[in-house]
Amino acid sequence: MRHPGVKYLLIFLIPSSVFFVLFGEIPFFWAVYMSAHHWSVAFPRPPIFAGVDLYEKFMKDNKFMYSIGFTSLFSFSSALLATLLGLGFAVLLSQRFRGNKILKGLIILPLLIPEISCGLMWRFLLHSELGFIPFIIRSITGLRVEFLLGFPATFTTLLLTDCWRWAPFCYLIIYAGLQSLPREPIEAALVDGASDIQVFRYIKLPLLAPILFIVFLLKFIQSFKVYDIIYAITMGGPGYSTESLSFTIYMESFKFFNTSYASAEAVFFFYLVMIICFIFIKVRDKLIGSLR
Amino acid sequence: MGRGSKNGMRKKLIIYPIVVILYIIILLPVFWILLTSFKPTKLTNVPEAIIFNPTLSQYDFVITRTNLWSVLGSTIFIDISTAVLTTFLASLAAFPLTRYHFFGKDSVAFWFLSFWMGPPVAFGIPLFVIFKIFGLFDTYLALILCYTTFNLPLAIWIVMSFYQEIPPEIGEAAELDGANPLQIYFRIYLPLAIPGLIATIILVFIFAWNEFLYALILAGTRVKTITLLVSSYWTMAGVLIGPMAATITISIIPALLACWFIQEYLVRGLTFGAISR
Amino acid sequence: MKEKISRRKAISTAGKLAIGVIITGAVAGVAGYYAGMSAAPARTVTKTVGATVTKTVTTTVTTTKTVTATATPTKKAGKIKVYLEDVPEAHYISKLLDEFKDKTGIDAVFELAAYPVMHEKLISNFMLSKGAYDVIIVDNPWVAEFDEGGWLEPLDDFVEEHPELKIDDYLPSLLWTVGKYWKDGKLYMLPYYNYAVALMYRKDLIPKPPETWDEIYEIAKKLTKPPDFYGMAAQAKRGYKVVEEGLNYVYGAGGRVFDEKLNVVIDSPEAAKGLELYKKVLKDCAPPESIHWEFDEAFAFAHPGHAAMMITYNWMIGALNDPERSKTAGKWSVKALPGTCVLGAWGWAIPKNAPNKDLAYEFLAWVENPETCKKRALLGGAPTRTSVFKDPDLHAKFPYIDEQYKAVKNSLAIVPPILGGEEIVHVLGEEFSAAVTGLKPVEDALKSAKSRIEDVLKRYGYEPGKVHIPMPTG
Repeated sequence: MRHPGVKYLLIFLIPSSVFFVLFGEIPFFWAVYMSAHHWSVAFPRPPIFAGVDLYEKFMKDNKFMYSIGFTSLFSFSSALLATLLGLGFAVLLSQRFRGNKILKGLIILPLLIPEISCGLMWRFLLHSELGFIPFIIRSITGLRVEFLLGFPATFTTLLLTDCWRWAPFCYLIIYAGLQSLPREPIEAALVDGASDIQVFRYIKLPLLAPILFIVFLLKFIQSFKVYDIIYAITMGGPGYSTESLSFTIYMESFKFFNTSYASAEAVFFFYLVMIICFIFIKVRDKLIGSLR
Repeated sequence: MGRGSKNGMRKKLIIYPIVVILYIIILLPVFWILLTSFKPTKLTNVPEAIIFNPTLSQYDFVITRTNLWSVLGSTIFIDISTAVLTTFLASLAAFPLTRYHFFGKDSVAFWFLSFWMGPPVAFGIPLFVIFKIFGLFDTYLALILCYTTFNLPLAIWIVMSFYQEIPPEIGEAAELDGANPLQIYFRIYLPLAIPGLIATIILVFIFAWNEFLYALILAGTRVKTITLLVSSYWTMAGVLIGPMAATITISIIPALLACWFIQEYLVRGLTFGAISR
Repeated sequence: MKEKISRRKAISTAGKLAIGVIITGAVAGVAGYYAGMSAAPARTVTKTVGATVTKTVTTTVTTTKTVTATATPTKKAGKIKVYLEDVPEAHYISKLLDEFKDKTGIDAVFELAAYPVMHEKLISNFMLSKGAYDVIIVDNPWVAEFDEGGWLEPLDDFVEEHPELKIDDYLPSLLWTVGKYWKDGKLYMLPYYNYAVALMYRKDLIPKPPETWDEIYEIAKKLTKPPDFYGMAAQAKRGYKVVEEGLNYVYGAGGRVFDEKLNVVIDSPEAAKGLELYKKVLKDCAPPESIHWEFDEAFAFAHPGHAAMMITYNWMIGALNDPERSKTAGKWSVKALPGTCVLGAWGWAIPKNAPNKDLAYEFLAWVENPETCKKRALLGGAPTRTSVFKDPDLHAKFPYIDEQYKAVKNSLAIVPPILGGEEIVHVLGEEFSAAVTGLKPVEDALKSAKSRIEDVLKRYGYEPGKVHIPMPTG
C-alpha cells in the first residue's frame, strides 16, 4: 500500500468533501458564529456580539446539564442492551432450525418503521386501556398494568422502544461478523473436544470483540441523537426529566426561536460527541491490548 | 454443528421457545399496526377487537383522500436519488481510505465520520437559514443534498468494508502492470464490489426513508416525505391511528422488498473493517 | 476504519480543526452577517414599501369587490388551497364545500395537517415569495408573531364590504384571542372556531354537577376506587396539554398569567392555590399514568367507564356521547367550568403571499357567513357567534349548547396576542408539569415560570407594566 499520488487522492476525495464542506462544515461554522452572537431566525435584527455569554448561560442551565446526563445514561443503556440483544439474535439465527430464513427476513422490520411512528405506536401499545399489550396481559392474568408510572418505568419504556427499533441493526452487523470469523480456530477447538459454549466463550467472543465494540459505539452515537421517541411519548416530561439533548436543542431553536442559544448548545453537543468517541476508542485500544 | 443427537435435541429445546418469543417481540407491534389498519375507525382504539369485520375504509381514506401517492412518489424519488448519489460518492471516497496510506488518512476518515456523529439539530438550524437564503428551501434538491451529506459517512464506512473483501493482490498486480489508481478503481474494485454497492444503495435508501428531523426542518410545504405524512395524523383532538396504521403499512412495503434483496449481501460484507483479513 | 488514533494524529486533527474554525469562521461570519441583514430588509421592505403598495392595490380590488358583492356572485372558476388542522371542524366544512363550489365555481382544496408541525410549516410558507396556500388558519399563540411579521392580509376593508359578516356577532373573548383589540386594532383574522374547555361528567354518576372547584375535587375523590375507577381522567402531558388543563384550576382560584398591564402574575398566591388543587386532583383522583396523557389516552380511559369526569374541549361531548365511539354514549353531560376557563381559538387568515387572493376572499366571505356558520354548527362544529349559540334549531339538536356558550363566554386564552406566545405556553407546560408531578414545589415552579416568561417578554421588547392590553368585555 503506497501513496497514490496527490492528484488521484484529490479525485477520489474531493467529491465527498465538497458535500461535507458545503452542507456540513459551513453550516457548522455558521452555528459557531451564531453561538457567539444574539440572533434569531424569526427576527429581522442584525446579530449582536455576545462572545461566550451564551456558552456561560447554558453551563448554568440546570435543564441543559440534566439533559446531558439523561442522554448519556439513555445512550449507554440503550447501546448496551441493543448490542447484547443483537449478539443474542446473531447467535440464535446462526443455528439451523426451521423458519430460520423467514425470521432473518422479518427481523429487520422494526428498522423500516420511522422512529416517530415507532414512538407513537409504542405509546399506544402500552396504554393501560387502549394498549394491545396490557390487554393481552389482562386477558391472561387479569391484572391491570400501567407502563408509564414514574421515572424508572418511563425510562425503561423509552429504552425498550429504542432497542426494539435498533437491535436488528446491531444484529445485522454482528451476524455478518459472526459469519466471517476464521474457520480454523473454531474447527481446531471442536476437534479438540470443546463444547459449543466453550467455543463461543473462548474463541468466538474474543474474535468478535472488535465488532461488538464498534456496534456499541455506533448505537451509542445513534441514541445520543434521539429525538423522535421522546417527542412522541413524553414530550420530555414530566418537568424536563426525559429531555434528550436533541429534544432540548430542537425546542430552543424551533419552538422558542432562540437560534443563537440553540446554536451554542448544538456546537457543544457536537464536540461532546467527538470527545466521547475519542475516549471510547482509547478505551477500546486498551481493552483490545489487554485481551491479546 | 451439533455433535451427536443428544446435543442437537437439547439445543432444539432451548432454541425453539426463544425463537417463538423472538417472533412475538419483533412482530407484535407490527402485527398490531397491520390489524389496526383494517379496523373501522370506531374500533381502532379498542384492543379487545381482535376478531372483527375487516374493512378497507382506512386504506380507502388514505389512498383516495390524502395525497399519499404523491408523497410516496416524492419520498421514493428523493431516497433513490440520495441512495445512488451517496453510494457513488462513497465508492469513490472509500477507495483511497481502504487501499492506500497517506498523510492525514486517519484525520480525513475521522472528519468524514464526524458528520454522522453530529446531531441533526446542530446542522439543521444553519441549514434552514442557508437554504432559505439560496432559495433552496423546501425543494427536492435541498433534501437530497442534505440526506446525502449525512448518510455519506456511514455509506463510506460500509463500502470500505466491502472493499476490504477484495484481495489486495489483484490491485497490486494491476499496479505492476502500470495501471493508475483510477483504472484500478474502475476496472477492479467497482465491478467486484457491485453486490456491496447495491447493498449500500438499499441501506442508504432505508435510512433516508426513515429520516424525520431534517425533513421537518427543511421541507414540509411543497415537498413532503412519508414520515411527515405519518406524523401529520397526530392531531390536537387525538391521534388518528387508523389512517396512520394504513399509511405505515403501505410505506413498509417498498422498504421490506428492498431489504429482502440485500440480506445475503449484508451478511457477506458488513463487518465495518473490524475483522482484519 | 482505522484501528487506532495515535495521539499525534489526534492533536493534528484538533489543530486542523482549530485552524479551520478560524479561517472559515471569517468566511461564515461575513456570510452570516449578510444573512442577518438580508433577512431584515426582506421584512422591513414589506412593511414600509409594501404598506403603501398594498393600500393602492387593496383599493382597486375593493371597487371590483363591491360590484361582485351586491350582484349575484359571478362564478370565478379557480382553485384555492386551504391549510387547516385536521379536526372535526375541518371535516364539517368539507362537507359543505360543494355548496361553495356551486355558488362561486371555486374549488377549495383542503390540506389537513397535524398540530405539532403547523407552526414551522406556516412560517416556512411565509418565507416563500409565492406561497403555497391561499387561506390558512392561525392558532392564537402565533397571532402576534404573524401580525408583526407582516405576513397577513389586513381584513378591515374586506369586513367593511361584507356587512353580512357581522363582526359584533362574534364573542368578544374570541375576537380578543385572534387579535382584534390588540395594537392598532386592525383585524387580520376572523375567528374560525373555538376550543374552550369545559367539564365533561357522567350524569348518571353525578346527578348534581359541581359548581366550584372544591366540589369537583370532592366528588372526584369520593368516586375514586383505584385501580378500576377514577374520578378524573386527566391530561397532564407536558406541553400544551398540562396547561390547557391546569390553567383552569389557576383561573378558577383567581390566578392569571398576565394582568392588563402585561405584568407577569403567575406566581400569585391564588395561582399557587389553584395549581396545588390540580396537583391534589392528579394525586388523589386521577390514574397515576395520566401525567403522560393526551386526549386519546384520557378518552380511551373515560369512555369504557373508568372515569367520572374529564376536562377537555367543549365540543368533545359529541364524541363522548357517540355510540360509535363511546361505550358509555348518552351518559355524559357537559358543564362550564367554575370561573374563567381556558380558551383556545383559531382564526382564518389570508397570507400576503397567497397566489389567488381574491378567490381567497370569496372563500372567507362564504365560510364565515352567519348562515354557513349555522350549518357548520348543526353538523357538530364549534360555534363562534352569539347568534349561532342562541339559535333555536341548535338548541333543539344540542341541548348542551347553553353550557358551551357559557364556557366560551367566560373564557380567557392562555396568552394574549403577543410575540413569543408559543414559547410562553411551552414554559408554562414545562413548569406546570414539574410542579404537579412533585418534581418541584409549586411556588418554585411558578416563580421560575415567572422569571422565564419575563425573559421572553424582554427578549421581544415588551416591558411588563408598561403595556396596555384591553381585556375583552362581556
